[in-house]
Amino acid sequence: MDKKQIRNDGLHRYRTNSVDSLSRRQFIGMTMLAATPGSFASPAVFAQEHGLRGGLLMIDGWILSESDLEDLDMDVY
Amino acid sequence: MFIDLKDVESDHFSQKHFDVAICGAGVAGITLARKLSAEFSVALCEAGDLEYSQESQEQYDGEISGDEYFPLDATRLRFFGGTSNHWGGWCRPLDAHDFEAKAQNSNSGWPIRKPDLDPYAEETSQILDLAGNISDSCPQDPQFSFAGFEQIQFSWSTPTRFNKKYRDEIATSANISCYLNANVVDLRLADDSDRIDEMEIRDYADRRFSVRARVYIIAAGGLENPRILLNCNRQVDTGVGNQHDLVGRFFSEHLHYDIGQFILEDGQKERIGMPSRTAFSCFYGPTPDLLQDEQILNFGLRLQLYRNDRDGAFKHKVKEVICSAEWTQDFVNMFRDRDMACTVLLDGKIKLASEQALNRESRVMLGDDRDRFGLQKIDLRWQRSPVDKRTLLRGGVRFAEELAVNRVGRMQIADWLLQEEADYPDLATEETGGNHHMCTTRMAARPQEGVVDEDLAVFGTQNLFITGSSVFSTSGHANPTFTIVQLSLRLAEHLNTSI
Repeated sequence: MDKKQIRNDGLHRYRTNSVDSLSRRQFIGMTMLAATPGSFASPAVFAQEHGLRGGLLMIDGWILSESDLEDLDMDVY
Repeated sequence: MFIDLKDVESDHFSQKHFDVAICGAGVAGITLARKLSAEFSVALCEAGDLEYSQESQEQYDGEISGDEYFPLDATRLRFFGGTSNHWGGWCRPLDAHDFEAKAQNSNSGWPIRKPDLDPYAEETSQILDLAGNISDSCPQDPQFSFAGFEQIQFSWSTPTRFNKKYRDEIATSANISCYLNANVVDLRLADDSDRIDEMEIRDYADRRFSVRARVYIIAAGGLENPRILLNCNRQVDTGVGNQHDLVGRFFSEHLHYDIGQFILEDGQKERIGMPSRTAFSCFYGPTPDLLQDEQILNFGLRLQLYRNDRDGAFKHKVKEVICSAEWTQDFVNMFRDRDMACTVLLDGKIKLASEQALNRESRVMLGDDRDRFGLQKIDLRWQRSPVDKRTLLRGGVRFAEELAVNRVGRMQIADWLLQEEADYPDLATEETGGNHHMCTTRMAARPQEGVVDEDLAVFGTQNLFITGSSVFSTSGHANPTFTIVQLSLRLAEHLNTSI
């Protein structure tokens, strides 16, 4: 599955969620798309390659805070 | 007054001797003519007519043999008012550090500094119809604390069309003779001299005339200024002002690219200084320290929302409906016969406009083809450098870090920037550049480094000057029109006291 297919598939899934916060919903969608196993290199490797500041990581070009990956257990399906 | 060259008698110029002859009635030429006409007689030679004509415009045709670039007969306009006739109206002066030499940009540094141009900012604002005086900085958001960045201001011109604004003034001016359809084809040096003796012009019936003046000024734009000098090769093989092989070199553009997309945290939309197309807009620019740390060039960065809650929201909602399922996307893509980018869950994209590194091999040359007057057309060999792509990447990464650390949003860096070997997006998919043609007759302290001196006099000649974006020593990232007017006003002041 290429990156575009992953994104499109993700959009389909994330449209049906019931989370109130639009930004939060966007973020979860983006993170899940980006973190699909086997599709992208390790976040830590990207962070190192691009010299990111401490506490930040890069997934599929997204520069995220490590804390962004916490509390992602809400129902997005 | 306006005088159509096709209507003049063959001996029209035989008894005339102007104080100043200007080649080009665009932003620079009109500004100069107006300022000089208080004291001097001015021949303002415009290659086009009062209105657009294909006959004139096609003389701008040329070859692109370097990096992909806009068609040369579309990236500028050839009639009275010049390229101001399709200008977008973005205004900002250069930053103080733009004038300084930078290790990451070989050959950089101006022989003048920002305070040399500041005295002309107020009059430039009036000429360009800006609301109030231009300012470098924005009213600061007290919560804004992006390390390495500051909020910067762009002011909006209406935009001023010089054709419309100054047509009546030129028409009734007693001291300005604006010759229309007057194509400058040669600058003749007096025998054994470094003085320009006459400027040869031709109409479209190929009638030849000689304009004589005490001072000659080339103000035909960043592509045409070097082309004219290089084509003046009957007396000097390499062209006028080209004794050090610098005319046409260092061609620079502003790189305009979408460098990524972003999402905003809740409640942050009001904080990010969206473009508002009122008197001014606030964008983001790097501090000199960030440029030094990263060894990159200057840039301006803005966030552009995909979704506008007021205008165009319905169309975005339609797109969201279509993008909500894969089968609906497939159906619509098939119906439209092209793929749609389903990025509607994201808030917007990041647009970055950057300075281009000076590059000797990025140049305006003369091609083999000739125009109807026998002049060689341009062969443009635009060439970007590794630091140009690095500026886009590192500028984006540093901004993305600040978005995350300050809990404003998150940004995705574009794939083509993260892949070192990837090409730039092509012209069909990206803006690429600003149609800004700069640095081709650079201002410098010494003739070994540039074509004109700090007074815009061509090195090695006594009475030839150049103005416009071709004299920029470096491009900075600000749109060039404001600086073009400042430089032209400064040249007018110099000539008013030195002729």
